[in-house]
Amino acid sequence: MTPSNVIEVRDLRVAFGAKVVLKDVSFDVVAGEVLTILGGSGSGKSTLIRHVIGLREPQGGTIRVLGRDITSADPRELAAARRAFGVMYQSGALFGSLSVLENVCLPLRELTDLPESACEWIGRLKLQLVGLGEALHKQPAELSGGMKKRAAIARALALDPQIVFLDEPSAGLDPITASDIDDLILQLVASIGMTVVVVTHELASVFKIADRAVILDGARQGIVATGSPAELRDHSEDPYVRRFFRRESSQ
Amino acid sequence: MDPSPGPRPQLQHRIVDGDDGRRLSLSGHLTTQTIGGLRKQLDDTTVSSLRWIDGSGLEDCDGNGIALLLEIVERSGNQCQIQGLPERTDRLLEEFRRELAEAPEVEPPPPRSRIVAIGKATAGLFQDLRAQVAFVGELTIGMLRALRHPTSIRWTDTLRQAEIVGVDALPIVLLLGFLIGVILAYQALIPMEEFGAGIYVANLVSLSLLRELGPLMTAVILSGRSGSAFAAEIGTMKVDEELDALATFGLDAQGFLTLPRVMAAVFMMPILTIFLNLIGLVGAALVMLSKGFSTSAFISQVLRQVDYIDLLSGLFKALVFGLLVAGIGCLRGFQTGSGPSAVGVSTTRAVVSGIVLIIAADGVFAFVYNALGI
Repeated sequence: MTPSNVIEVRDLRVAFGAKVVLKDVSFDVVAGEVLTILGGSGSGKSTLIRHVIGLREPQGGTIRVLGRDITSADPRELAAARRAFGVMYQSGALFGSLSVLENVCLPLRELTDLPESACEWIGRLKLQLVGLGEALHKQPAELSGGMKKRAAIARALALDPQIVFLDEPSAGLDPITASDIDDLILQLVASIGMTVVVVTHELASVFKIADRAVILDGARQGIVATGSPAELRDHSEDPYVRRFFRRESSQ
Repeated sequence: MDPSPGPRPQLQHRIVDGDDGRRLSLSGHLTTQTIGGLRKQLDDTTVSSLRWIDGSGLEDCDGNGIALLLEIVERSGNQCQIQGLPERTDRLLEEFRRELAEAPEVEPPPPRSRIVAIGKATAGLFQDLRAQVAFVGELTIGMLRALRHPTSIRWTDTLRQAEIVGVDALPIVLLLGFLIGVILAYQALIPMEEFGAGIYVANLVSLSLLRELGPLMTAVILSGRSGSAFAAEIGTMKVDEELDALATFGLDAQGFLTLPRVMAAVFMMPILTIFLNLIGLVGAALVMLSKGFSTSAFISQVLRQVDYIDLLSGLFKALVFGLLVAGIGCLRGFQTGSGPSAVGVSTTRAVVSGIVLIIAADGVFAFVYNALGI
């Protein structure tokens, strides 16, 4: 494994029954970069993320995260590896019975030996960072869709993970909030050296935050292009990539 | 946070008294993994005496490390200053400082007073009672209207629900009915045999089953099995906005969802009760046979004790219990709130309310039957 690579995926194959969703998928994520995973609906973006974070076992190939092959890791090793991840799920996946602050404090309480008051201090700071300083004591059911996403990002950042996975962080948000979240991602990368993997459809966000992008095509069940967003937009000869970036018609 | 094997990062700290005040010097790794130990060693007295935090010896510092430094500064009454952090970390420190300066003061919601809680619970109880009465009333009218215009009934749905409520419930009804008959007969035999009146166990079991236990136990099974399922199904539909979708089609959700379920329950309850009564009597008969009483003696005693009035009074109860259990199950589904626990709460409320209503209604039946001399 190249020292600067935090994730290495090789020849990944994922199938649901007889239906192959991903095949021969290989890519790297370099430490400190923002990598976006792009693709149409049903192209396997979220499925790919779920395999990289070890929630699903692939049918073939290897996934090395921080030097460890998680496809052959036992549950204890997998749990230890996952502590280096922060994950924001598409729906937010906040715990409905806990307040927003309690949601963010939960990993700190359970996985560190910090006293309660310090956990709360850190939780408040993380929520302030994502612009939810006033919603500390609200229940998730009281939050709007955008607020839920921001709270979920704050929870993903609770343990200051080395790698953060964000599944559609700007989907359904107004342009100002989406731009604020992009700024937040860039700031975290610049200041803490965090590596960020983002699944998104928002091209504005891709050009703002991404160092590199990989593009998945559901019809070809895999990655069809990898590169910087500008390179892909300006130089890719792949018709799918051209359509994706330039929104050309299929005619 | 590196999960790879290797030495665990360490954080060293030293507290030194200098001319310019007490100094906390840090070296090593100030990260999420290490800050817990430092935080525990810095009690309020130590922190309030600090004037400087020196981070020049730090090799590594993450966001939570910086957050902890800012917490120490705040606990010192902002008398402590941070110096010597690497440039990149210093930028993050300034960013966090700015965020904290902008953070609003948010107080947690005050705990609700006991009197207010009791008041709200009481008001809620009456509102709920009113909703139940209104719902059962609307349901009864809806059912009578549907019976007057049978073509308006959604027969396919009703028959499917009848299969789920009735046919699928038959094995559990038969099992429990048999056991109830066996248990009743055994328990009754103990005192009655002492007086040489063992044969009258047949009278006791048959009367208890037909008038009381048959409809009651069937309704309890229906509540646990189908009332809860109705609440969960309709509750999930509400959470997923499927009820709103029905409303936007201009369809009456109650007529669409409730009537087939309630009609199925009302039709199937008496049938299930007959099965439970019969199998209960079989269980009791087997116990009597094992004690040396003949089958013909058992049947003769049963026929001498109960008549069709006993059977019909029990079946009428079963019909009403079916209406109540299915109605409350659907009502609790429609009352489902938001959040992941909402469907679970509705399901629990459906079962509890169903059983309370069954027993309350049984009390009313006891009074009315007594007054009518039934």
